[in-house]
Amino acid sequence: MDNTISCETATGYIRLSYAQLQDIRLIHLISGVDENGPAACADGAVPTAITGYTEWVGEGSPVVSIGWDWQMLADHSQVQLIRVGGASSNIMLQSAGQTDLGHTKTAFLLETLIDSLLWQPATLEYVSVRYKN
Amino acid sequence: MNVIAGKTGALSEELLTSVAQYRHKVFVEMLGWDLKCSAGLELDQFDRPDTLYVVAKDEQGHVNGCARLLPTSKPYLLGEVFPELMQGQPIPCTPDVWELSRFASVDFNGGKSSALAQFSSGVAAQLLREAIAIAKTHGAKRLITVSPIGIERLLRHTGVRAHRAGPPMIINGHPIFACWIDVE
Repeated sequence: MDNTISCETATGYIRLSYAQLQDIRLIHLISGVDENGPAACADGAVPTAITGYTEWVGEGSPVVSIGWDWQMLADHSQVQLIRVGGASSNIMLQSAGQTDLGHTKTAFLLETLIDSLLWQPATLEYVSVRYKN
Repeated sequence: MNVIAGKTGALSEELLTSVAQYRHKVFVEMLGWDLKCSAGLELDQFDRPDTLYVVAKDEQGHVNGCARLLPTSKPYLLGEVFPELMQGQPIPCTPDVWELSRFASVDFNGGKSSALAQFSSGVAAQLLREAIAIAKTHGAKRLITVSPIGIERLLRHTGVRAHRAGPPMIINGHPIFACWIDVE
């Protein structure tokens, strides 16, 4: 059964299946660095990592929006970004029978999707250019 | 932290002035927002007799947090100034959806700050919970807010359920979006 991607006007949720979400091409919107230090510093902790955010939107309509935080890891040879924490979005994933999977499962699947994407190069390049000076 | 809440007429002139001065320090001086102000007070057309304020004060009586609540059944910031953030979806216009705006929790008297310049980590969570609770007593079942994307971290840390009404838009170089917040 081919489910239609719908946007519920009352809540703003875009409802679709995970398979449908995987078929949507995500486009990088903006990324940035946390300019005041990491968000989750415990009292007395000294931030030592570079952290930031990255925002992506889906092609087509209704427009899917997914964002997440990242942390930069660097050693002598390379710089890499890893996802930190959960994703933020306007998505409620549904089962094949068009039943809402709920917030927890949706969050888990969004993280799974993000981790399957090669998002780091676009984010790193954008941040490098944005903060060049 | 002490929290005071009430509509314009229920709050003292002194407190309202303190809040306007605090908002000026946060939004104009610290964040550089381009807002029309006079005499060091930050007020706009949504500061009305029916506006509901939530104000946090420290033990010395200094304002260290504020929030503004408006029913979407009357003019409000998102509907009047940033309707495009709804990405073509209908603007909320119902007494059970309230808008949360001018939310800040910077402690200018020595408190720690978080990654988001307008939020001090210690005050923000409690102020947010208080604002949600107060909105609920006035009939709100959901809140909507125009916010920087970083507020989602605060919401997650606070355990508040929220989601985006649409993709963020870049305004003055910063990603801003409309965010739904569950009250119940």
